[in-house]
Amino acid sequence: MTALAPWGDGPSIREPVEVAGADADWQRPVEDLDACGVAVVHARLAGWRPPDPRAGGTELRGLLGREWHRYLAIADPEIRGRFAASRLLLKHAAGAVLGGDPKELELGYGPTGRPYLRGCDQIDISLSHTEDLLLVGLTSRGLIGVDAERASRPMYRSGLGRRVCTQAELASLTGLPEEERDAALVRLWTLKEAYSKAIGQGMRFRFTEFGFTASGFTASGVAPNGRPVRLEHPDGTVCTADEWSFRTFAPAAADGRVLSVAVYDTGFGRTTDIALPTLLDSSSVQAIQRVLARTQ
Amino acid sequence: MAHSALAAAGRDSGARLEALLGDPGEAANPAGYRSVLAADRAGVPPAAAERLLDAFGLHHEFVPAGLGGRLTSMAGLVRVMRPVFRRDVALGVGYGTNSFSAAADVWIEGTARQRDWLASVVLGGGRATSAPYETAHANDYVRGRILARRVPGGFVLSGSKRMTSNLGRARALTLFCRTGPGDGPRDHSVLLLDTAELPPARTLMTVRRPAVGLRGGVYGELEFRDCPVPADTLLGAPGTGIETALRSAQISRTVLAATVLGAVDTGLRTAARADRNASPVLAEAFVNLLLFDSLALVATRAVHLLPEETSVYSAAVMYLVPRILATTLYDLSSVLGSRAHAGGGGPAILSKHLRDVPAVALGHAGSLACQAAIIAQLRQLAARSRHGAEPAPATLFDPHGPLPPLRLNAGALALACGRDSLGASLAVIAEEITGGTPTERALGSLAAGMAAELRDLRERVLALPPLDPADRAGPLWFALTDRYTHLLAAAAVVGVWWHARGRGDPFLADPAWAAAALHRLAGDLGLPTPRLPPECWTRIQHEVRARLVDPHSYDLFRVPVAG
Repeated sequence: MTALAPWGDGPSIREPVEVAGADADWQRPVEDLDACGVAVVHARLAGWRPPDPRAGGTELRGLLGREWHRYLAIADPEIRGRFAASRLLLKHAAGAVLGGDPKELELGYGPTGRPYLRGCDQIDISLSHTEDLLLVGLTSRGLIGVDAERASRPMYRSGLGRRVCTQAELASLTGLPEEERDAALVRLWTLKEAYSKAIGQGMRFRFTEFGFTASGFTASGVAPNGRPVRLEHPDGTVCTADEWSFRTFAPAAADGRVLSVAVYDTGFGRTTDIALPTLLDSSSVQAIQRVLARTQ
Repeated sequence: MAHSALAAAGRDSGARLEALLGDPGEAANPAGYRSVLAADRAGVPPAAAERLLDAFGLHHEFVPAGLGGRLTSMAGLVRVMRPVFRRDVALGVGYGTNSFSAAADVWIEGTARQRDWLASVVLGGGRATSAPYETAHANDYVRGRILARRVPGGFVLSGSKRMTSNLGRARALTLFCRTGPGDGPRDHSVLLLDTAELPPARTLMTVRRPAVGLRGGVYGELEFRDCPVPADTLLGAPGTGIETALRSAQISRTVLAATVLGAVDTGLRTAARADRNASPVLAEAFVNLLLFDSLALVATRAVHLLPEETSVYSAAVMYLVPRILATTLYDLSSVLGSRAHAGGGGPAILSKHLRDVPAVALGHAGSLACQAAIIAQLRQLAARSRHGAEPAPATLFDPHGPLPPLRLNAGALALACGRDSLGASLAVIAEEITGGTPTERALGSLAAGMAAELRDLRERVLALPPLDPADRAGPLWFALTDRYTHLLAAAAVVGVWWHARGRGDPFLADPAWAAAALHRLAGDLGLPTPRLPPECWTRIQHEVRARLVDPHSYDLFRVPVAG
């Protein structure tokens, strides 16, 4: 029997790490996934946007795989560049933590556009981008959703709060000094987005139907006061959903952007191994192939 | 209880059990949501609900008629188990499918003496459980190895299994252990053990609580310390453990996947009852249930009709449990919002099903096991289908069609045969669909797209270097297998609709659900998804409403439910 250490103590979600480009050092995300079952990376578009494909696209074509034609069909060069950059980041990140070639991975999309690795469910993935920042979350625990927004976005002032907040959240936002309300709402918004993306719903999940701990956060709107962030009913009572973890970060390298992460633990415990080279259960395959060889 | 449920109760055991378990929304019902949620919170099986199942004699359904039980068909077993899963997945697994899966090992491989003994245990109200061998990328539910050393007169066992269901209350245990030197195809054997006979000093049982899913289930860690067991515990020939596991999985995966659908039926009913905004999610969820049930129906009936092909269909339908059923529950949770996480009855059953349904599929380890069963024969399947294989018989797709006798034996259940009649049916039917209405035209074009995708998949598989199981199989094999399972679901949808035309159920004969199901699968496969005609969705929404008002199941069978 393989002895496995349980998941490490301390925060189950570590601060997102910046990856400059495909040849970045992936050691931190690999360690994070191993230690916590969660790794989150962020990057700048410029570091991942490929050169125009007409200037030699063989490598890019291999990496985009079945999405190559979809990529070529995007008319707007800005959107096309972002499309490619986000896919490259997703595949490189997944390839790095799974010990495999990113070209061998295929991305699939759920009904609301949620990405996943087709046929490889040892990790779940999530993607977000805002302005020139890309954010990718990976987990071997179950489900993950990530979201990024500029912290200084005047969300509260523009009246968005009433459309996306529960009564309890609105009450605690009103209780904050005026200059802190925007940042606090941005934090709530990204948490709601992250949760909704983790369960594959995107904007379909009405944001006023569930809330998060709104009070007790510092002026930046991002530093928890030690209390775990919990999912709440609209009236502010805590939901019985212990299998969820939520965190918000504002790393200096993210340049004023707030990054939120929602992780669901399906409770299967640690998997002995998640590497791509060991996917096949060879004893059962050999047993089946012996039978096929006899009958054909 | 709905009047129609009572009226149907005399006819089959599924209807009788549904009537006995009663309206799950009633607070005082021992098998109702309030009761099973309380048991879940307490981390114990719902005792009052188990007593109801005892009184019904559900355990008799797991024993073949030839051995004194009531099991005559897979379809009948699924029908009688769905009412249990509609209420509580942990109850369905803990009382039912877990025992049945372990028993299936014995019905298939056991000697007459072993089968008689197990039949007497189960018919007497005892349970069976199984400790499977550790497969690739194991998690807590699969992890652990038992070594069985041969000694004069028997074996000596050592090692441990971390999570064994019903440990401490199962009398019979099928134990998969290593008897050979390595991890080769002949290095495992199965033992059928009477847990009452195990020497207590050599056998340790430690209670383990499931963290998230199936909290009401009884689990324990089983450890053997040089534990002697007699030679006649061997189940099947020495070294055939992997084959027994694969063969038995064809039955147990099919039954479990087909029955756990009941929980999502409840999810849809709960969301539909609470819906205030005519959410499009409801119709989509119903379509997902129907498409999943189409493949479940094919896998279930194939055990009787095409037993040599069930290795493929059973693995495909189980593989799709987290992908179709669990995701549908999340879609439905968007209708309920945080009410799905409320503590009491009603909508809170959805959050319990959300935790329990993925648990039955065993996560990544479960997916890999299903994928391996298909990957091992994918090349042969592709090669055979190139020459135009024989399509499946129409009766494979008929929810109410008669079935030939069930043959639970190693001779009937081949580990693989490299043939796929279901995929062959898709190719044939897709060519014949002619569209009169816009919905029929949409269905025809989607079916043609699916058939083309299946041909493309075949060529991609044949272009890969042959699989060397000793070497690594790249993720490409796993991605192609994922596509193949979705295509098999599409083939099942097309077959069920095609053969339902002109028969008794006007909704199944209508192309609306089938077009919407193929639309969903096309999206999963990244194929073009042209907008469906609005009347297609109207038809489905109407049916969701109709089956809520006059409670009937959200599956292919449209049976009365108690609420």
